[in-house]
Amino acid sequence: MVLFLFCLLNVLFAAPEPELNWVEAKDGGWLALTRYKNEGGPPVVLCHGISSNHYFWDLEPGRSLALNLHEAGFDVWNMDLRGHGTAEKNPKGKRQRPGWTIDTYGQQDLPAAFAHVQQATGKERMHYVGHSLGGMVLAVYMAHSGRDVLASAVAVGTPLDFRDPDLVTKVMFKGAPLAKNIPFLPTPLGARYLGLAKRTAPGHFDEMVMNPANMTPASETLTLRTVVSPLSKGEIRQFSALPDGEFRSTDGQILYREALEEIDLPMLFIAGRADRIVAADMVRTYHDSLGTMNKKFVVASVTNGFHGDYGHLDLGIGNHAEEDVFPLIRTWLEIWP
Amino acid sequence: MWWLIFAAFAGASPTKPADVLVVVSPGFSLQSHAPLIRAIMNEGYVTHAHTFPCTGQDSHAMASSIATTAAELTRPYVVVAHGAGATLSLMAADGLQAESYVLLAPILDVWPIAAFEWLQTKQLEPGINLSTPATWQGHDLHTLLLGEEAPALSCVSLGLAREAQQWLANGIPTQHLKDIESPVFIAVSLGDNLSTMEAVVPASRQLPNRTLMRMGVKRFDPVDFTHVQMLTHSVPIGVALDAIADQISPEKK
Repeated sequence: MVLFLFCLLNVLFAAPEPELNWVEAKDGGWLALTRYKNEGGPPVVLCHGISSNHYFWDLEPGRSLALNLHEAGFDVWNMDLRGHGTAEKNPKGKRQRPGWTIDTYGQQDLPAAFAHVQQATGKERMHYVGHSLGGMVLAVYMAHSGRDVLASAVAVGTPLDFRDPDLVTKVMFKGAPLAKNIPFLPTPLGARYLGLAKRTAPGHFDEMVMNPANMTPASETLTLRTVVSPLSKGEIRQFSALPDGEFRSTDGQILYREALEEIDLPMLFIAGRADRIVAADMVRTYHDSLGTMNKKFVVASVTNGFHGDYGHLDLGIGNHAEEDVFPLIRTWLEIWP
Repeated sequence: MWWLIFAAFAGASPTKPADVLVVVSPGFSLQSHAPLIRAIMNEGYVTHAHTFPCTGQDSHAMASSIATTAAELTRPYVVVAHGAGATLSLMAADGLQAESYVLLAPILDVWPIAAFEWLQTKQLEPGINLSTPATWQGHDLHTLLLGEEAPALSCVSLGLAREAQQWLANGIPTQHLKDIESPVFIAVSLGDNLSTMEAVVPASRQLPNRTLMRMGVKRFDPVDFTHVQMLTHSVPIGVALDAIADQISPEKK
């Protein structure tokens, strides 16, 4: 009887089985969408950040925005941009041809993803949640295609400019051209080392990407082993070609924060007080650039009633992200159907 | 009538091309600025300090008092200030002839946060003493906003306190910033919960001639400095000294 009840509870409350969708962009690149299906529910597309993958939004129960939104009734489409996570290789198992840029994601991957979701769900509009680069990619998309397919959006830890960079950022941007001949930077290897080093790595690099006070050692190790994907030379090239720190298109013609002045999309911006990758002012630039009154900017900090001061990755997978951050996102999506 | 402290500290002779005028933040004691002032003196600068009384002043009067003190100086001078002292120094700028400004964690503007919204609702009375304990959501407010090494605080005038409540609600007026031609050096840090990045950095871009330095772990500093550490820690103090020297160097001119 006990065994029967145990099995019944597991069936009733088990995480839903995700459904993998391969999507081919117009230029032949492949991206992947992992769907937590809610037939008839409002679709929401989740997008990871730089050198990451869909596991950022779906690390484990309790650290999964994907599951959280699914439980709230949303039809969740958790994306791997080309070259990341499931889409590191194409459906035939071959590594995808390198060289894509951030612009490629916004001009190729996102339109393909949105079209696929429209076709699969029959819904014209959907929501979008991006972490870090995942929000920058949305800016690229909107600059080229507008906002008509979107009901609302949330950008978490997303910069729109790199003006007045700190020392480490300056050094990285200056050193970036050295990597121009390397098709991919094997960042997963470095991340695995950090995971094994368990907070003792020289330079405490792990503290750059997250606030350890908001993570358990086990979740940190899992994060570093799971949510990191290689960095492409095209991305590095686009970041290194920011002479004044402004985020521009690869041809330099579009200054993205100016291109958003005409965009009237309800958008929520969440920055981490302790985010050493993207300081709160860089997120505010995005907020200030958007041409809508229906926008909100929140800093995830103790002074704002959060459990802690959030770092870059713990905004999505921290110990209390489910209580602090996810409700903000869910509420925003619900008020803009 | 208000009283002013105007002191040329003994022991420093004018070997440098400019003096330094330190504007002590309202609500902070002169003692809390001692590490900074001592370091500046040890570099050989003739150093003057301006403090504010506890009564009868609003920000306009306070800014005027800085200009009155500065008018007494007979040599070129650099204004050095922290936090709200920096706010008032820039408000006084059109009455000053400063060679430049070196500002640590200046409060140029305010972005609304929950703790500030709570402060807006506090009843104000004459003789406000910032050292009075205050708790917000189970946190000691001084520690939360200023940092764990918060120094002994002192009084502020009711006029300024009332204005500050308005600023917390509506932001600090910043129209004057674009008219400040003198070079302004600003240091900020991620650990600062009062002079926050999302408020200071955008506001600082209105200054036509400014340099901004982000201090903290990503500059290989030992920590991301709190608001008080930006005044008292040896690293920001060292940065201030370098900035003063840089601003008045002959090459710069």
